[in-house]
Amino acid sequence: MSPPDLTTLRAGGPDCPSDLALDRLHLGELDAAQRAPLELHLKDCALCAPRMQERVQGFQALPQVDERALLASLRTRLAAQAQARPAWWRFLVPVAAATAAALLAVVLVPRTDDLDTAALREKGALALHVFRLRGEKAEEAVSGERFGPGDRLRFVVDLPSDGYAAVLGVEQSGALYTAWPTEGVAQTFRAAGRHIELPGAVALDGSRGVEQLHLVHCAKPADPPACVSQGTGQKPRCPAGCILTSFELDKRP
Amino acid sequence: MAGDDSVKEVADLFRQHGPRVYRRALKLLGHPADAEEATQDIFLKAMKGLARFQGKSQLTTWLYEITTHHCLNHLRDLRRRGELHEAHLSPPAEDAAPRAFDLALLRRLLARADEREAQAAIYVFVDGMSHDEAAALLQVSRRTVGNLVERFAAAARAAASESEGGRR
Repeated sequence: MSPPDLTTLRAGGPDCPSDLALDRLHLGELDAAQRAPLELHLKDCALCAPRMQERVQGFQALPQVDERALLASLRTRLAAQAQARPAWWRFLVPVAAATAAALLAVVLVPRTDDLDTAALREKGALALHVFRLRGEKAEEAVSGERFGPGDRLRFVVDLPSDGYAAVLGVEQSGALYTAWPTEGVAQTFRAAGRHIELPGAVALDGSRGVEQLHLVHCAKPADPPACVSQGTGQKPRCPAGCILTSFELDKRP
Repeated sequence: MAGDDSVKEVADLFRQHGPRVYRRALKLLGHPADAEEATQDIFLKAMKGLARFQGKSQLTTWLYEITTHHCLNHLRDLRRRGELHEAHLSPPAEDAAPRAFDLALLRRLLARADEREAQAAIYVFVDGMSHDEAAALLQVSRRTVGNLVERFAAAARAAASESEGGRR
């Protein structure tokens, strides 16, 4: 093979500003002295005008990316990560952060090697997407968002393997209920895949407080799976071979 | 659990920085699905570490570092699993840019390069940074950046001639 021509890999010409410089300019992170030569360059550079334009356009310049789906998936993963932490950890984090902030006057840039990668999701992980129906439209909701009585929800799931799906709810009281399959849905087996729509919609009742929805995915037939509530805020205990992911509803009038 | 404020914070951060993270990940990894997955992973890491940052001006460079580190790890994982050649040597059909094939070769070189050399090569050759800019991110001298990228370029030439020799 021929070695790659390393000089042609970058965007723009050899004398053009780097991507980082344009990013920082776009985000207003540069002072006047740093901005001036860049702005002068941009005035006359045909190569850099489109580079700057794509920064201004953001996701609009990336039509192949579904921004909403990507953000919703990120939120689901953040919520799952938060729920996976033990209660003492949730308390400790703000205390530790406040203590550290008081002690450190200088912000240190951490080495990325230090970052925790343990919670990173494998491709095709189990995911529950909740959509709130508003008239003819369905808007994807975010875990932890507020919901009101009468809100109608639909579910879309990502399944890592073939199996049987159910959505169980745990009320503020700790009571367990089946949110999906809804009445009239007989078949809960679904082949592995992403963005699988579960038919039917559920309407929220008038009860208040924080509730959790748990997508339960079982390898063996289960209609619904024989899960047992572990109380509010906890994942229910389900038969071996079932995996769960959660979504939180903050129900207020 | 995520309250309204943190939900908004995630959305704002993602809308502001998501496109640039995705674009870089796509350039380094070569495939849209990998880039989307990487973008999510990178934001998960960023949200975890966000409390450590007080200045907006550091956020962009910090995301550059995380993205670089994450994508390099991904390329190395692919190489270990033997998938890099098949999946990433050939550029995707839709990527008709003249440099697409060079980027595909670069990924293979990055996967086996020394980490610091690979990071410097990404900053200088892919992101188009000056040696001064790369030196600031790598926290080394400008001269060291020059040495790192020269060693990377020499390794690229050596890999190419090895490959040529193997074919004869």
